Amino acid sequence: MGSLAQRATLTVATERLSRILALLAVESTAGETSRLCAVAAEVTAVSGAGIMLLSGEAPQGSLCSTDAVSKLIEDLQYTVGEGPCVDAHRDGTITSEPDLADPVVARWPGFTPSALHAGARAVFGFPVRVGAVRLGALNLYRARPGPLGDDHHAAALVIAGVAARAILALQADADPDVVAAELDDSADFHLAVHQAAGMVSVQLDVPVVEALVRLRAHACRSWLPPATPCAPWSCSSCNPTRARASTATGPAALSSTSTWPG
Amino acid sequence: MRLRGTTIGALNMFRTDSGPIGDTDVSAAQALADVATIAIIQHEATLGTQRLNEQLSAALNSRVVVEQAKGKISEAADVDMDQAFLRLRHHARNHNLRLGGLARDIAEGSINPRSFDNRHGAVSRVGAGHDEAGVPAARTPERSASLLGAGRGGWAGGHGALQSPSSRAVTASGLPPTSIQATLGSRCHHTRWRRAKARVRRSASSPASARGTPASRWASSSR
Repeated sequence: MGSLAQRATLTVATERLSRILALLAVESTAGETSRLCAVAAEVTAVSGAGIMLLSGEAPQGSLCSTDAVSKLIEDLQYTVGEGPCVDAHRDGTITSEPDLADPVVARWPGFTPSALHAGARAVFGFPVRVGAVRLGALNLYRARPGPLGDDHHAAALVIAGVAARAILALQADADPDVVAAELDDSADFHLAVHQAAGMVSVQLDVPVVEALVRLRAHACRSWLPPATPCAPWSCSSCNPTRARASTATGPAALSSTSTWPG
Repeated sequence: MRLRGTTIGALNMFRTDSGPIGDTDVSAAQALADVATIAIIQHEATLGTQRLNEQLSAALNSRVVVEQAKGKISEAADVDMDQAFLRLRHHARNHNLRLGGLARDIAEGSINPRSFDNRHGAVSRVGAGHDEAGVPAARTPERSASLLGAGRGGWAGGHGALQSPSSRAVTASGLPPTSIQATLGSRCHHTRWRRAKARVRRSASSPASARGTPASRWASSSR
């Protein structure tokens, strides 16, 4: 009996994987990586999907997203440093928030109001990893609340695993020092933010890390709803306390002491 | 030591006595070789995944560091990002440095983008005009500004004066909720305009600026 049940389970898993691989093999003009997100949204029956690359606790960029809302969900996490992808990647577990509008305690005070406003009601984060090697997270959102069904949940796990291997396979073909061309072309690594950080660092004579913190604070203050608590970030390398201290003593800053949130 | 037609190595065995090896020993040795093969290949596969992830992470990181260095040079030298990258690459080539290493030093602040040429004490092709003038030391103010486009050595000091009022303007103006890039873009435009005015004033009195605009200097020195 045990072996029969195991065989049945294996068959279901194989069929699921075959279906996903068949969907991925469909020719698409949008490129291989955006196909990953499109298939993820399709097999899990959600409103939109995106894949985020993370390193340590810091979001590095967005590999793909299926629509404006999932793009915003990734941008928000990049800006405020919290959200389903960040949690899924950091803890290596599946993050599930079936109703953003009805949590007893808001899980992500910086992320939730803007995500809700954009039209996401339920969000889910799945780690994108191969064994212990963690690359990032798959994020799924739905416009209506409710948990993911078992079948969709299983499909999301499979596509997250496929995405992890696909990313590594793409990188395997590239030179060791260079980001694979397919990843570089399709992903958004927010390079302009780093250029801006370099500029701010010269303007204010502060380290680039601090310039990034100030940019984040400024974006948080001017881009998100006024009530959003913008600090602390979960990004451990960006310490707002340091930025605040030097703002008090340093030159007029991008974000001055009086307007610093909190 | 073979797996599916791929030979990855050989197991050598030695004995002090002479004579052939028995059949049982042959199959035992082959079994041990097979176990070693599988262990090595498994280990390689795990390492491969880890290594690829590290490579991806490092490649992304160096990409980010280059952009940060470009931003610093762009601001310090008042040039656009493409020009900033050309200068970075030019400097790395002239000084036989790795682009990534140089970018990291600039981004981390161990090389000042205002003066990073003279830290190496090497002759810069960017500031080639000064060699003809017979300036020997690489530590003159003009030389220190060679990455910024020499001949504008004066404005490095003026930059500090421009900085405070314009950055106050950013915070005081109550910016609309637009992107960071837009904010910085307009601010850059503002300072560039003021710098351009300062350059025009200087060109009337300084022979240095008669040597050409930074752009033409760059073009002439990049051959």
